[in-house]
Amino acid sequence: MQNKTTYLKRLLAIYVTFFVVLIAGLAFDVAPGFRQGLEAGTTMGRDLNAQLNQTTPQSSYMLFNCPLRQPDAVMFETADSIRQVTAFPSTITFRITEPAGNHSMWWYAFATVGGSPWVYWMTVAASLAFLVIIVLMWLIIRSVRRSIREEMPLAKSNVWRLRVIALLTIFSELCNSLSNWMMNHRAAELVTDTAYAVNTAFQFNYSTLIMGLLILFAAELTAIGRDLGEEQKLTI
Amino acid sequence: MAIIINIDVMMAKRKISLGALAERVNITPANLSILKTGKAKAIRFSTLEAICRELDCQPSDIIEYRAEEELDK
Repeated sequence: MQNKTTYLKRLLAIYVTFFVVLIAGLAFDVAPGFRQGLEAGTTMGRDLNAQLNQTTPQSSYMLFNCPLRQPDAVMFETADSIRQVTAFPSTITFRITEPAGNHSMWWYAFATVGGSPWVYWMTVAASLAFLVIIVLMWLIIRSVRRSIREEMPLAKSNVWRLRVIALLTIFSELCNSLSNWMMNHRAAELVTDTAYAVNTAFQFNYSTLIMGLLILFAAELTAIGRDLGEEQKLTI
Repeated sequence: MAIIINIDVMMAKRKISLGALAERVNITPANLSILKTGKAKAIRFSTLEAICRELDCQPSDIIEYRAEEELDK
């Protein structure tokens, strides 16, 4: 293989960027989100603990970022009193506390997000899918770097890894959309006849679907390339 | 596959070893072995020409077509 050094340099750049992005994502996205969730959970736990002495057992859950159908304008002045700012909050987060029903303790524990354990498990499934995608990406980059040294690029294992990444990308987006849709429905039920109107339309991120399909396309291209390479190798 | 490689028959007739033929044809013994065992997907005209030259034969002496039904019998 010619230009081996160039390919290796390029892959090294991708490898380094991958880890930089991973660390930046953990530091600026996952960690603040985790901290925010921890704070919300602690407050909720503290409140539940305070309510334990009440005669009626209470249950609490959160409905995150529910989209409002017609965002209300909120007007305020800036600190220097020169400008007037009008804000249009488009999403709203609810915390609901209601008398507990006949479900088990575990049901309520897993229903703290979205008011149903299904929403919790879908959120967990989407997060796990992202984790698997990151591991698979690392395995692909490592495998391609090795394969260049061994002059055997387009390994069969990378084809199925790419296929799994594509399917997991679509799956995680479906999980997110479905859990958001369930939360929005619950929120819409709760805010009926109030000033708020929650948009209950099924919102799907089509760019993620396109990205998943593109990865699937790349996997098929890799499979074709692998077959062509195999044929080339067996041409005497 | 319906294409049969009879290079081993010709090599036996000409009393030439795989290593020697590979050297004369200027291909690796591993590649000649792939050709001999019928695992090859294609053969270049230049390789075929060199083999025919060294074995003093026609391409039809090396490559043969047999219908699938005939092979199944």
